[in-house]
Amino acid sequence: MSATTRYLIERFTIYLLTVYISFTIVFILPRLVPGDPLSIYYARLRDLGSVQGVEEMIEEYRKMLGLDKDLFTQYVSYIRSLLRGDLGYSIGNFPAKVSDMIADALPWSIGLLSVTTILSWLIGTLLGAISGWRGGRLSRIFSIGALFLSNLPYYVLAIILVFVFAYTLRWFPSTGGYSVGMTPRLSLDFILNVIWHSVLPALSIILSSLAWWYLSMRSMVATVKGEDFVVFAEAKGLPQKDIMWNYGVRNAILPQVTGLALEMSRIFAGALVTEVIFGYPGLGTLIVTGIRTLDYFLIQGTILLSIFAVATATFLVELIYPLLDPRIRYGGG
Amino acid sequence: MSTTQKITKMFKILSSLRKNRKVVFGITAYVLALFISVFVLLNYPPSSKKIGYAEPLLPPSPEHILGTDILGREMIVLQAEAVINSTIIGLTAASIGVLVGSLLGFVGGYYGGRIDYVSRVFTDVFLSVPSLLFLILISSLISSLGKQLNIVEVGLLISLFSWTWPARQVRAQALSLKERDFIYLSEISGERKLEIIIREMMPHMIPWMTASFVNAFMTAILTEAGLSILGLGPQTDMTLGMLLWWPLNNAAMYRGLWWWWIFPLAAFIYMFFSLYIVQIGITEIINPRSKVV
Amino acid sequence: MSVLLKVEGLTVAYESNGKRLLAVNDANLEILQGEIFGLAGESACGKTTLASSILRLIKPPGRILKGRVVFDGVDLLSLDEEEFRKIRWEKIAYIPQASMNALNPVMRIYDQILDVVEAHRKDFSEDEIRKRAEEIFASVGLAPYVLKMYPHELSGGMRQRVIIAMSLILNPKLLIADEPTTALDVVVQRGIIQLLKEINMKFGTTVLLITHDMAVHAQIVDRLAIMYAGKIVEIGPVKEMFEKPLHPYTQLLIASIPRAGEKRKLAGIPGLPPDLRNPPPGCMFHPRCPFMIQGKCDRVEPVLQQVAVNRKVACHLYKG
Repeated sequence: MSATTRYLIERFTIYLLTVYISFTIVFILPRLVPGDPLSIYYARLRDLGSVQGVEEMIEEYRKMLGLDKDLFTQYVSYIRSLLRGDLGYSIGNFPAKVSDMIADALPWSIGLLSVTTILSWLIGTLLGAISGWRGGRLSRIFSIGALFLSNLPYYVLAIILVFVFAYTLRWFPSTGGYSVGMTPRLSLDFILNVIWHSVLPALSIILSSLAWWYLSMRSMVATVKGEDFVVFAEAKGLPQKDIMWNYGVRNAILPQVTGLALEMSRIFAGALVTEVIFGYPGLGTLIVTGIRTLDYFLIQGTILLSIFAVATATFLVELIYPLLDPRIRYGGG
Repeated sequence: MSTTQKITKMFKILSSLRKNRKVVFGITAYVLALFISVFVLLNYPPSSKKIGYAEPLLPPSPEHILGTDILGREMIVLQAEAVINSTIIGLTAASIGVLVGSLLGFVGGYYGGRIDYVSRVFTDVFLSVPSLLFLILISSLISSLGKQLNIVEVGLLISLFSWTWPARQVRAQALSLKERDFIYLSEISGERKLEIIIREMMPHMIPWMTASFVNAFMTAILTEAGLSILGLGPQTDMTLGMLLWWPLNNAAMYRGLWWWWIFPLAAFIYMFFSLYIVQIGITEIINPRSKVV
Repeated sequence: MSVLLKVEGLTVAYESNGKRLLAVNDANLEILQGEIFGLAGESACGKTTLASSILRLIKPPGRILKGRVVFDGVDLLSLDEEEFRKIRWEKIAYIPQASMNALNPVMRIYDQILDVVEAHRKDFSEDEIRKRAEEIFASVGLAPYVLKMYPHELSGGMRQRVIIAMSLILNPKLLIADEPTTALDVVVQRGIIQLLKEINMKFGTTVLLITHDMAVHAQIVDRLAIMYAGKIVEIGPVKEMFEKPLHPYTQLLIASIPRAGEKRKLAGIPGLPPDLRNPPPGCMFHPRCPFMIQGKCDRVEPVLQQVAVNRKVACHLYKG
């Protein structure tokens, strides 16, 4: 079995394990509570007096959750429905299905996250590489700024950006994915409107993320610069540009890719809260809607999907690694 | 190392902490905020925190230095409370995190074998799941049961995940220390294992544990803010996060109620950065090559 | 024979925390075209720093304070970056210490040879380069398939040979080999030493061989220089140096070589090399010297002087 295959199997196993264990924990959590997880809800619903349809809804849930059956059967049907993609019904918007509500919100989040992550990683890494290699005063100035930005939570930046650019300057809108009154369709008009609405949310994430990747690449490159093979490359009389790219960056980028895989959870969590600040119609706002209406299934479903999404994204990044590092690709030696 | 040498080493570590400008600056800034908060709380009546104490949404004036919020509460008092409450949350989460994490990490690193394998897998799983998502789930579960979390409970909740990073750090340290010569010497010279751990290994791990502590503290404050902004914060108490939730949830910016959000935001950034500067300083002490500035 | 490389008054310092130490202190030596010149001395005596200075690889906190390094009539230290870059490898090649780590982990061996050739000569075609690489590999005992591999797939000894092969690819006039035999087992060591001798004989490449291992010097070196605490203390033809070492340090070095068949106590050199941050007054070696002259060796620094044909020594025991 080649080294690459071994690596892929290992990463895939961890991927599956993470998703599986997380899903199981999500299953266990509400059942740690004494009584039916929905009991409070039933009481509240009955109090509200909207008897119409309440009893049917409760019965629907009980059947779905199999709350009348034993724990193991419940678990099995839970896993089964997850594999089917069935995430249950939204309590607040019954009979809307959770998976449908997520399907509406998901493209927004994926769009925002993928664009911002890829852009900030690429640009940050590039700038960090040049800065780390050349050094100098400009590099130090940038780095101080980056230190400030890199650890600032995205939502703090979001608030500041909204104040400056949305409220004061009125250059960009402060909420929503698209302007009120527009219907989503595939037209240039709509797309431009979406982009206009995405600028501030994206910037909130990119500014901080970029600074983080910049700093991390910069320090990797600085470390690699002192390695024996770089000094040897210089002794060989190679031009600086060659050394920087083929010897410096090509080696420093490896831990940078690993770093991307490790940071996925943090980036996702930060983006969620940022979406909320902007009322951006993604998963973040969906979760908050669920929280506001105490819609446990909506929250649970969104979180299950989020865990799956983050784990998948992490795995995808890990797939890139063997392409870059021959030691993983070929092993041995 | 003789006892005198070890005590001297402790002092050296403390003094290097003192000499590092960033650490001193950060800690001073943070403690200053704490002192001011305590001072404020001592000088205002407890009723100033209650609903209807003053007219709601008053801009800053000589009577109300930072204005009042939508429920007529004195903003400056709320701020002071927030600083102290967030500190409690941070301390709780960080202490438990570092204690539990260090223990777990150390046991794994030192004893190795299957114990290490199990603890490592355990730690890695917790590290790879998005902690905020789980905390959201647990918090919403708790609130749908009708229960309100208090400050300490929020701290405990956050500590569910704050142990993972310290565990990793301490394990790495224990692994490398285990192999070092002076440990071997102590072992063959007949020192008991517990003695070796406490007297020889601890001094080396303290800097790392301190760094993990500050890191966990900072992360706890960030996590609490995240949870609060999403609406899952301790609604009845005031924290740095809740202080931001109120204006955000009530469109403070568009209503021109600038004092309701600018001061909380500034306070948050201030507290956060003072901790961040301390963290940079400690990282510099541990690894002098990581100096950026 | 003509002088290929002449080092004049080279002084290299390391500065940290306001303290300065002289890793190379007023070094003077000449290497003749076509010879194998050895540079010996304990670890941290300045040998590698000297070699790095010739190649202008000294990085902060190190600094070349003064001196000239004249190669083929040109002072290398006075050239600008681009001019010197052209001289690197084409004229002076380098086999660094611990050369197993000198290869780029993410590039194939062949690509690492290709890039150095393309950096200096645009007139070779791909075919020509490949052929030459295979030839040189064969002469160092490496099969052509090694070219396609990555460094981590090769053993330490093989990587060493790759570096040696790489160093010959542009047929340099001077080859600097820094501790090429350390960290290798004795059998591989012998092979490397033979290889260096062959290179010198077949291609006429001048070799500067740096090692603390006196036995290696005895085997292939023509002339030898001894370095101590940054200073050159003796230079001469190797046979004479071994038969009649002049400087007390040289005597102790040679006496410390274990000889097969002799039953003798292993003799080390008593004492420790000086702390260069606080060098002893006068002669660097006087605290450890069995022949130390009180009042002279501890006050006045001896200068490297010619005391016989082809023999130079820096010691108060001898008159120039």
